[in-house]
Amino acid sequence: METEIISPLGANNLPFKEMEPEKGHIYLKEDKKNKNIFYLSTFLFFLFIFILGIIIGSFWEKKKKTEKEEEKILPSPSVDLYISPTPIPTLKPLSLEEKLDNFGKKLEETDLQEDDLLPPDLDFKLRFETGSH
Amino acid sequence: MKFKNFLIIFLLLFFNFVSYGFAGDSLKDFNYQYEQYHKIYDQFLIARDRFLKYRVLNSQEEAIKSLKNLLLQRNQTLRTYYLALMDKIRKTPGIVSQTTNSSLLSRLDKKVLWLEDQNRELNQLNTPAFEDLFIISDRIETEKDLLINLGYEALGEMILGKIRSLHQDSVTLTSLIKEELNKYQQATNSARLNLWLKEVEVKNYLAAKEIEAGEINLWNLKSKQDINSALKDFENIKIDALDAKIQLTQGLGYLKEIYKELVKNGN
Repeated sequence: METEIISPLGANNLPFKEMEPEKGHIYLKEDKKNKNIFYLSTFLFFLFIFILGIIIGSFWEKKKKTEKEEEKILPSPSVDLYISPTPIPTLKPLSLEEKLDNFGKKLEETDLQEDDLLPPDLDFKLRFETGSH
Repeated sequence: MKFKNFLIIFLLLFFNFVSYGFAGDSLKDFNYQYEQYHKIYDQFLIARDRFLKYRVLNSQEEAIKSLKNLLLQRNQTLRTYYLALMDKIRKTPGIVSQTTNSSLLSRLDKKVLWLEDQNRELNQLNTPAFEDLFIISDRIETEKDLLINLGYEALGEMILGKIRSLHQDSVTLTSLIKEELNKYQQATNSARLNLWLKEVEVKNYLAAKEIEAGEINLWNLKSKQDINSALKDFENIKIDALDAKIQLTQGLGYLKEIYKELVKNGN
Protein backbone atom coordinates (compact mmCIF):
# COMPACT_ATOMS: atom_id res chain seq x y z
CA MET A 1 0.00 0.00 0.00
CA GLU A 2 1.46 3.26 -1.05
CA THR A 3 1.26 6.18 1.24
CA GLU A 4 1.56 9.62 -0.18
CA ILE A 5 3.92 11.79 1.72
CA ILE A 6 2.52 15.23 1.80
CA SER A 7 4.50 18.01 3.31
CA PRO A 8 2.59 19.85 6.02
CA LEU A 9 4.02 22.95 4.49
CA GLY A 10 2.27 23.06 1.23
CA ALA A 11 2.87 25.72 -1.30
CA ASN A 12 0.03 27.65 0.17
CA ASN A 13 1.06 27.01 3.78
CA LEU A 14 4.50 28.60 3.74
CA PRO A 15 5.15 30.12 7.17
CA PHE A 16 7.08 33.06 5.68
CA LYS A 17 4.21 34.08 3.58
CA GLU A 18 2.68 35.76 6.60
CA MET A 19 5.83 37.67 7.18
CA GLU A 20 5.94 39.20 3.75
CA PRO A 21 5.50 42.95 3.84
CA GLU A 22 2.09 44.11 2.82
CA LYS A 23 3.29 47.50 1.72
CA GLY A 24 6.80 48.65 0.97
CA HIS A 25 6.66 51.95 2.84
CA ILE A 26 5.96 50.29 6.20
CA TYR A 27 9.24 48.47 5.92
CA LEU A 28 11.12 51.69 5.14
CA LYS A 29 9.75 53.36 8.24
CA GLU A 30 10.90 50.45 10.34
CA ASP A 31 14.34 50.68 8.80
CA LYS A 32 14.59 54.41 9.54
CA LYS A 33 13.46 53.80 13.10
CA ASN A 34 16.11 51.11 13.52
CA LYS A 35 18.73 53.48 12.16
CA ASN A 36 17.73 56.17 14.61
CA ILE A 37 17.93 53.68 17.44
CA PHE A 38 21.40 52.71 16.27
CA TYR A 39 22.55 56.36 16.20
CA LEU A 40 20.98 57.04 19.58
CA SER A 41 22.66 54.02 21.11
CA THR A 42 26.03 54.98 19.55
CA PHE A 43 25.69 58.50 20.90
CA LEU A 44 24.71 57.23 24.36
CA PHE A 45 27.58 54.77 24.28
CA PHE A 46 30.11 57.54 23.60
CA LEU A 47 28.51 59.73 26.25
CA PHE A 48 28.60 56.86 28.71
CA ILE A 49 32.29 56.16 27.99
CA PHE A 50 33.09 59.86 28.39
CA ILE A 51 31.25 60.20 31.72
CA LEU A 52 32.67 56.88 32.94
CA GLY A 53 36.16 58.12 32.15
CA ILE A 54 35.62 61.29 34.17
CA ILE A 55 34.17 59.35 37.14
CA ILE A 56 36.97 56.76 37.15
CA GLY A 57 39.55 59.51 36.81
CA SER A 58 38.18 61.47 39.76
CA PHE A 59 37.89 58.30 41.91
CA TRP A 60 41.46 57.36 41.04
CA GLU A 61 42.69 60.80 42.06
CA LYS A 62 40.74 60.64 45.33
CA LYS A 63 42.08 57.18 46.08
CA LYS A 64 45.64 58.30 45.43
CA LYS A 65 45.18 61.34 47.63
CA THR A 66 43.70 59.39 50.55
CA GLU A 67 46.43 56.78 50.28
CA LYS A 68 49.06 59.47 50.47
CA GLU A 69 47.31 61.17 53.37
CA GLU A 70 47.03 57.85 55.23
CA GLU A 71 50.72 57.26 54.75
CA LYS A 72 51.46 60.65 56.22
CA ILE A 73 49.03 60.41 59.13
CA LEU A 74 50.02 56.95 60.34
CA PRO A 75 52.33 57.41 63.30
CA SER A 76 55.05 55.04 64.41
CA PRO A 77 53.29 52.81 67.02
CA SER A 78 56.43 52.41 69.12
CA VAL A 79 56.87 56.14 69.63
CA ASP A 80 53.51 57.75 70.03
CA LEU A 81 50.00 56.43 69.73
CA TYR A 82 48.44 59.85 69.69
CA ILE A 83 47.39 60.87 66.22
CA SER A 84 47.89 64.56 65.96
CA PRO A 85 45.29 66.34 63.87
CA THR A 86 46.50 67.21 60.41
CA PRO A 87 47.18 70.90 60.20
CA ILE A 88 45.00 72.86 57.83
CA PRO A 89 47.26 74.16 55.08
CA THR A 90 47.25 77.92 55.06
CA LEU A 91 48.61 80.14 52.34
CA LYS A 92 51.42 82.13 53.81
CA PRO A 93 51.43 85.63 52.41
CA LEU A 94 54.56 86.40 50.44
CA SER A 95 57.07 88.61 52.17
CA LEU A 96 58.14 91.83 50.51
CA GLU A 97 61.53 90.31 49.72
CA GLU A 98 59.86 87.34 47.96
CA LYS A 99 57.65 89.72 46.01
CA LEU A 100 60.71 91.67 44.87
CA ASP A 101 62.49 88.45 43.88
CA ASN A 102 59.44 87.18 41.99
CA PHE A 103 59.16 90.42 40.10
CA GLY A 104 62.87 90.20 39.22
CA LYS A 105 62.34 86.69 37.85
CA LYS A 106 59.29 87.81 35.88
CA LEU A 107 61.28 90.70 34.40
CA GLU A 108 64.06 88.35 33.35
CA GLU A 109 61.79 85.68 31.90
CA THR A 110 59.42 87.94 29.97
CA ASP A 111 60.12 87.60 26.25
CA LEU A 112 59.52 90.89 24.47
CA GLN A 113 60.86 89.74 21.11
CA GLU A 114 58.35 87.04 20.14
CA ASP A 115 60.74 85.84 17.46
CA ASP A 116 59.15 82.39 17.31
CA LEU A 117 55.87 83.89 16.17
CA LEU A 118 57.05 86.25 13.46
CA PRO A 119 54.90 86.06 10.31
CA PRO A 120 56.15 83.42 7.85
CA ASP A 121 58.04 84.62 4.79
CA LEU A 122 55.89 83.26 1.96
CA ASP A 123 56.00 83.79 -1.77
CA PHE A 124 52.67 85.32 -2.76
CA LYS A 125 53.53 86.03 -6.41
CA LEU A 126 53.21 82.66 -8.07
CA ARG A 127 51.87 83.71 -11.46
CA PHE A 128 54.22 83.06 -14.38
CA GLU A 129 53.97 83.15 -18.15
CA THR A 130 52.63 79.79 -19.29
CA GLY A 131 52.49 80.70 -22.98
CA SER A 132 48.98 79.29 -23.34
CA HIS A 133 47.50 82.61 -24.56
CA MET B 1 19.40 61.77 9.06
CA LYS B 2 19.09 64.66 11.49
CA PHE B 3 20.20 62.43 14.28
CA LYS B 4 23.20 61.32 12.26
CA ASN B 5 24.23 64.95 11.78
CA PHE B 6 23.79 65.59 15.46
CA LEU B 7 26.00 62.63 16.28
CA ILE B 8 28.71 63.82 13.88
CA ILE B 9 28.63 67.34 15.36
CA PHE B 10 28.81 65.92 18.87
CA LEU B 11 31.83 63.77 18.01
CA LEU B 12 33.54 66.70 16.28
CA LEU B 13 32.94 68.92 19.31
CA PHE B 14 34.14 66.15 21.58
CA PHE B 15 37.41 65.70 19.70
CA ASN B 16 37.79 69.46 19.41
CA PHE B 17 37.40 69.67 23.19
CA VAL B 18 39.99 66.94 23.69
CA SER B 19 42.37 68.52 21.18
CA TYR B 20 42.11 71.83 23.05
CA GLY B 21 44.10 70.15 25.81
CA PHE B 22 46.96 69.70 23.38
CA ALA B 23 46.78 73.31 22.20
CA GLY B 24 50.38 73.84 23.25
CA ASP B 25 51.41 72.02 20.12
CA SER B 26 50.04 74.74 17.86
CA LEU B 27 53.43 76.44 17.62
CA LYS B 28 55.08 73.11 16.76
CA ASP B 29 52.41 72.53 14.16
CA PHE B 30 53.07 75.93 12.62
CA ASN B 31 56.83 75.27 12.50
CA TYR B 32 56.21 71.89 10.89
CA GLN B 33 53.86 73.34 8.28
CA TYR B 34 56.36 76.11 7.54
CA GLU B 35 59.08 73.51 6.97
CA GLN B 36 56.76 71.58 4.68
CA TYR B 37 56.05 74.81 2.78
CA HIS B 38 59.77 75.28 2.08
CA LYS B 39 60.04 71.72 0.75
CA ILE B 40 56.96 72.06 -1.45
CA TYR B 41 58.13 75.47 -2.65
CA ASP B 42 61.45 73.98 -3.82
CA GLN B 43 59.58 71.18 -5.61
CA PHE B 44 57.38 73.79 -7.31
CA LEU B 45 60.40 75.79 -8.52
CA ILE B 46 61.92 72.66 -10.05
CA ALA B 47 58.64 71.66 -11.75
CA ARG B 48 58.00 75.19 -13.00
CA ASP B 49 61.50 75.55 -14.47
CA ARG B 50 61.24 72.14 -16.13
CA PHE B 51 57.91 73.12 -17.69
CA LEU B 52 59.26 76.47 -18.91
CA LYS B 53 62.27 74.71 -20.42
CA TYR B 54 60.62 71.73 -22.18
CA ARG B 55 56.98 72.81 -22.53
CA VAL B 56 55.71 69.26 -22.87
CA LEU B 57 52.43 67.94 -21.48
CA ASN B 58 54.10 65.76 -18.90
CA SER B 59 56.04 68.67 -17.40
CA GLN B 60 52.93 70.87 -17.60
CA GLU B 61 50.96 68.33 -15.60
CA GLU B 62 53.74 68.17 -13.03
CA ALA B 63 53.93 71.97 -12.78
CA ILE B 64 50.16 72.27 -12.29
CA LYS B 65 50.22 69.58 -9.64
CA SER B 66 53.09 71.18 -7.72
CA LEU B 67 51.49 74.64 -7.99
CA LYS B 68 48.27 73.30 -6.50
CA ASN B 69 50.23 71.64 -3.68
CA LEU B 70 52.08 74.86 -3.01
CA LEU B 71 48.87 76.91 -2.84
CA LEU B 72 47.37 74.42 -0.42
CA GLN B 73 50.48 74.42 1.74
CA ARG B 74 50.84 78.21 1.71
CA ASN B 75 47.29 78.54 3.03
CA GLN B 76 47.90 75.80 5.57
CA THR B 77 51.06 77.53 6.84
CA LEU B 78 49.22 80.82 7.31
CA ARG B 79 46.29 79.04 8.92
CA THR B 80 48.50 77.30 11.50
CA TYR B 81 50.33 80.59 12.09
CA TYR B 82 47.08 82.29 13.07
CA LEU B 83 46.12 79.32 15.22
CA ALA B 84 49.46 79.59 17.05
CA LEU B 85 48.85 83.31 17.62
CA MET B 86 45.36 82.63 18.93
CA ASP B 87 46.70 79.94 21.20
CA LYS B 88 49.32 82.31 22.60
CA ILE B 89 46.72 85.01 23.25
CA ARG B 90 44.38 82.51 24.94
CA LYS B 91 47.11 80.86 27.02
CA THR B 92 48.43 84.12 28.41
CA PRO B 93 45.37 85.76 29.93
CA GLY B 94 45.65 89.47 30.47
CA ILE B 95 48.43 90.04 27.97
CA VAL B 96 45.91 91.78 25.79
CA SER B 97 42.99 93.80 27.19
CA GLN B 98 39.59 92.07 27.19
CA THR B 99 38.04 94.12 24.37
CA THR B 100 41.14 93.94 22.17
CA ASN B 101 41.44 90.26 22.99
CA SER B 102 37.99 89.30 21.71
CA SER B 103 38.13 91.48 18.57
CA LEU B 104 41.65 90.29 17.73
CA LEU B 105 40.70 86.65 18.27
CA SER B 106 37.61 86.99 16.11
CA ARG B 107 39.62 88.64 13.31
CA LEU B 108 42.20 85.88 13.45
CA ASP B 109 39.46 83.29 13.50
CA LYS B 110 37.84 84.83 10.41
CA LYS B 111 41.14 84.59 8.56
CA VAL B 112 41.49 80.94 9.56
CA LEU B 113 38.04 80.20 8.19
CA TRP B 114 38.74 82.17 5.01
CA LEU B 115 41.93 80.21 4.38
CA GLU B 116 40.05 76.96 5.00
CA ASP B 117 37.51 78.04 2.37
CA GLN B 118 40.30 78.73 -0.11
CA ASN B 119 41.73 75.26 0.45
CA ARG B 120 38.30 73.68 0.10
CA GLU B 121 37.91 75.42 -3.24
CA LEU B 122 41.36 74.27 -4.32
CA ASN B 123 40.60 70.69 -3.36
CA GLN B 124 37.48 70.73 -5.47
CA LEU B 125 39.57 71.42 -8.58
CA ASN B 126 40.37 67.92 -9.78
CA THR B 127 42.01 68.75 -13.09
CA PRO B 128 42.76 72.46 -12.87
CA ALA B 129 44.42 74.57 -15.53
CA PHE B 130 47.18 77.04 -14.66
CA GLU B 131 44.75 79.93 -14.86
CA ASP B 132 42.33 78.37 -12.34
CA LEU B 133 45.12 78.16 -9.82
CA PHE B 134 46.51 81.61 -10.63
CA ILE B 135 43.09 83.17 -9.98
CA ILE B 136 43.02 81.69 -6.47
CA SER B 137 46.65 82.64 -5.89
CA ASP B 138 45.99 86.24 -7.01
CA ARG B 139 43.08 86.46 -4.60
CA ILE B 140 45.40 85.60 -1.72
CA GLU B 141 48.11 87.90 -3.07
CA THR B 142 45.75 90.89 -2.91
CA GLU B 143 45.14 90.04 0.77
CA LYS B 144 48.85 89.57 1.46
CA ASP B 145 49.47 92.83 3.33
CA LEU B 146 46.38 92.41 5.47
CA LEU B 147 47.30 88.83 6.25
CA ILE B 148 50.86 89.59 7.33
CA ASN B 149 50.08 92.88 9.09
CA LEU B 150 47.50 91.12 11.23
CA GLY B 151 50.31 88.94 12.54
CA TYR B 152 52.47 91.97 13.41
CA GLU B 153 49.49 93.65 15.04
CA ALA B 154 48.79 90.63 17.24
CA LEU B 155 52.46 90.42 18.25
CA GLY B 156 52.55 94.16 18.99
CA GLU B 157 49.48 93.85 21.20
CA MET B 158 51.03 90.93 23.04
CA ILE B 159 54.36 92.67 23.65
CA LEU B 160 52.66 95.82 24.92
CA GLY B 161 50.32 93.75 27.08
CA LYS B 162 53.30 92.04 28.70
CA ILE B 163 55.18 95.26 29.42
CA ARG B 164 52.01 96.87 30.79
CA SER B 165 51.65 93.98 33.20
CA LEU B 166 55.29 94.39 34.33
CA HIS B 167 54.81 98.12 34.80
CA GLN B 168 51.72 97.50 36.92
CA ASP B 169 53.70 95.08 39.12
CA SER B 170 56.44 97.66 39.57
CA VAL B 171 53.95 100.37 40.59
CA THR B 172 52.34 97.98 43.11
CA LEU B 173 55.72 97.07 44.64
CA THR B 174 56.69 100.74 44.84
CA SER B 175 53.56 101.54 46.80
CA LEU B 176 54.20 98.58 49.14
CA ILE B 177 57.74 99.82 49.85
CA LYS B 178 56.31 103.30 50.39
CA GLU B 179 53.95 101.92 53.03
CA GLU B 180 56.89 100.26 54.78
CA LEU B 181 58.86 103.46 54.56
CA ASN B 182 56.05 105.44 56.16
CA LYS B 183 56.33 103.17 59.20
CA TYR B 184 60.04 103.95 59.40
CA GLN B 185 60.87 106.08 62.40
CA GLN B 186 64.40 107.40 61.90
CA ALA B 187 63.84 110.84 60.40
CA THR B 188 67.14 111.45 58.57
CA ASN B 189 67.36 108.02 57.02
CA SER B 190 63.70 108.18 56.14
CA ALA B 191 64.22 111.36 54.11
CA ARG B 192 67.13 109.71 52.29
CA LEU B 193 65.15 106.60 51.46
CA ASN B 194 62.20 108.72 50.35
CA LEU B 195 64.51 110.39 47.84
CA TRP B 196 65.57 106.97 46.59
CA LEU B 197 61.93 106.04 46.25
CA LYS B 198 61.36 109.13 44.14
CA GLU B 199 63.97 107.72 41.76
CA VAL B 200 61.95 104.53 41.48
CA GLU B 201 58.84 106.55 40.73
CA VAL B 202 60.74 108.40 38.00
CA LYS B 203 61.74 105.03 36.52
CA ASN B 204 58.11 103.89 36.59
CA TYR B 205 57.08 107.13 34.91
CA LEU B 206 59.73 106.76 32.17
CA ALA B 207 58.61 103.18 31.59
CA ALA B 208 55.01 104.41 31.24
CA LYS B 209 56.18 106.97 28.67
CA GLU B 210 57.91 104.24 26.66
CA ILE B 211 54.72 102.19 26.77
CA GLU B 212 52.76 105.19 25.51
CA ALA B 213 55.22 105.54 22.62
CA GLY B 214 54.73 101.85 21.88
CA GLU B 215 50.97 102.32 21.83
CA ILE B 216 51.34 105.15 19.29
CA ASN B 217 53.48 102.88 17.13
CA LEU B 218 50.87 100.15 17.38
CA TRP B 219 48.19 102.60 16.31
CA ASN B 220 50.38 103.56 13.32
CA LEU B 221 50.92 99.89 12.50
CA LYS B 222 47.19 99.25 12.40
CA SER B 223 46.71 102.04 9.86
CA LYS B 224 49.51 100.85 7.57
CA GLN B 225 48.71 99.12 4.32
CA ASP B 226 52.09 97.75 3.27
CA ILE B 227 54.19 95.17 5.05
CA ASN B 228 57.45 97.16 5.18
CA SER B 229 55.93 100.14 7.01
CA ALA B 230 54.13 97.80 9.39
CA LEU B 231 57.40 95.98 10.06
CA LYS B 232 59.11 99.27 10.96
CA ASP B 233 56.33 100.11 13.42
CA PHE B 234 56.57 96.65 14.89
CA GLU B 235 60.34 97.02 15.39
CA ASN B 236 59.70 100.38 17.10
CA ILE B 237 57.19 98.74 19.45
CA LYS B 238 59.82 96.18 20.42
CA ILE B 239 62.38 98.94 21.08
CA ASP B 240 59.87 100.88 23.21
CA ALA B 241 59.01 97.79 25.20
CA LEU B 242 62.68 96.93 25.75
CA ASP B 243 63.42 100.50 26.89
CA ALA B 244 60.51 100.31 29.32
CA LYS B 245 61.88 97.01 30.60
CA ILE B 246 65.31 98.60 31.20
CA GLN B 247 63.66 101.39 33.24
CA LEU B 248 61.72 98.85 35.29
CA THR B 249 64.84 96.74 35.89
CA GLN B 250 66.71 99.77 37.19
CA GLY B 251 63.71 100.70 39.34
CA LEU B 252 63.66 97.20 40.80
CA GLY B 253 67.36 97.53 41.70
CA TYR B 254 66.57 100.73 43.66
CA LEU B 255 63.61 99.07 45.38
CA LYS B 256 65.86 96.22 46.52
CA GLU B 257 68.37 98.71 47.90
CA ILE B 258 65.66 100.54 49.84
CA TYR B 259 64.36 97.23 51.18
CA LYS B 260 67.87 96.23 52.34
CA GLU B 261 68.22 99.55 54.17
CA LEU B 262 64.87 99.00 55.84
CA VAL B 263 65.88 95.49 56.96
CA LYS B 264 69.29 96.70 58.14
CA ASN B 265 67.66 99.27 60.36
CA GLY B 266 65.40 96.66 61.86
CA ASN B 267 62.18 97.52 60.19
